[in-house]
Amino acid sequence: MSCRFPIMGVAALAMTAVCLVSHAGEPERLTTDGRLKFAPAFTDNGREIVFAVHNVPNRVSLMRLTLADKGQELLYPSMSEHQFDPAFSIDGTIQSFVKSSGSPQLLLIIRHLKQDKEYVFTPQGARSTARTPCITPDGKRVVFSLAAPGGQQIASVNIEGGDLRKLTQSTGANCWPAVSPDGKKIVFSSSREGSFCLYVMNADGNAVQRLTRSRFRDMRSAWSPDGKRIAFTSVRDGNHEIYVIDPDGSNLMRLTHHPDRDDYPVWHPNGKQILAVSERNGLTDLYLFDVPNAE
Amino acid sequence: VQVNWSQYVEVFYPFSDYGWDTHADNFELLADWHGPLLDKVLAVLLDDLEDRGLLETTLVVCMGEFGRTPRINNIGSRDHWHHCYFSLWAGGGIQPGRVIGESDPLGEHPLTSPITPSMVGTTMLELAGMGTADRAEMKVLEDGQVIDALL
Repeated sequence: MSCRFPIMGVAALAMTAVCLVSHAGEPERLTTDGRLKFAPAFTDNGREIVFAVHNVPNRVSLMRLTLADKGQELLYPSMSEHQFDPAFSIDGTIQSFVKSSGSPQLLLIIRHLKQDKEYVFTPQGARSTARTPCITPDGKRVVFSLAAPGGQQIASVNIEGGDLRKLTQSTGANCWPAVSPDGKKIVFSSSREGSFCLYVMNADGNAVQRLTRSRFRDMRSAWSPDGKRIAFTSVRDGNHEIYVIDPDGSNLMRLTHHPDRDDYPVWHPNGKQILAVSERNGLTDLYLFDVPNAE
Repeated sequence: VQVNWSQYVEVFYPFSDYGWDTHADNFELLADWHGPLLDKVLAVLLDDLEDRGLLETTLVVCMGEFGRTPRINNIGSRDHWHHCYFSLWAGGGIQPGRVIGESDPLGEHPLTSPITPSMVGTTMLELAGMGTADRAEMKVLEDGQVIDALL
């Protein structure tokens, strides 16, 4: 069986960016347990990483890794539900993640760590889900992907889980949002024109512009700390690799070149390294890549 | 030997092992979980069988009882679609590295002559050594048709 995507026009092909090839060199391996991991996030100014891991056969949990000694501990050891997609405010006082519930719903959890308060956003619909939250730089809103009646859209709520605003209203699926460091732009992936490509829009959902053109999936974008580059995962060259692109779609650079999967790019707060989940010889672990030509 | 992907259907029931159904969160689930799991497990199984010299005498079929809707549903995900889907075959004397059959551009219906579940079962039995006469005697898929292109 073959499924063919809509045929691209000549004009679209002419706009395709030429990809520069740059090798990141050998990465630093941060974990060695090899368990299935995804969605890492830096916290404590790059001294810690929180990620989702297939911790036991019937659960996915959030794990905290301390870079100084590579020690790991469960973030919520007593929680029996699945937890993933961790996100932190810049000052580290607000944490957001996604949690399973008693139905196929996925709930958005927002925790104010200093006040020890928790707010829950429950998407409408028995099978609706909230995924991949991202806290705005001013710490006032959480942007996430909402799958609910009306399609899968980019949405936001305030820091107490209220005031739901849908930022996209398109066909297809809209996923993996990331807010720019200045809070003015959101990069996300959308299949509105056939395949998952990167788009950039204003923080209020206006002025949507397509950033990449690929017949395959471009996803999981992440802004560099200075806002000058966007890292993302793409399967355009045959398997999951990490790329970097400027916010105007220029200077596309491929960062990884391994036949196994490299995925979930996250910029280190120093702006010179990218954390990724990489599979090597069947083992899935966290790796830290140096970014060539990083300022 | 039949290996079911999971004893749980829905992905997000508490205490489940993440399940296998994707009526919700299809694209992120496939990218986060199902895809990496299948990629790793199926590849290791085939490599392991080959390393042990067992692949030639072991038929491996990876398939579901239906596919997923080509058009996404009202929550951006995919539901059941039995009209057109795929299976992966390896080992058991199958000639590898080929694609048999083709769907329409939207993946909704076959363009080529359909391969049915009955044909799948018949071919499995044929490769296991149960020919037409055996199947007739046992009254199992006695009128079944073998997937000739696969052999």
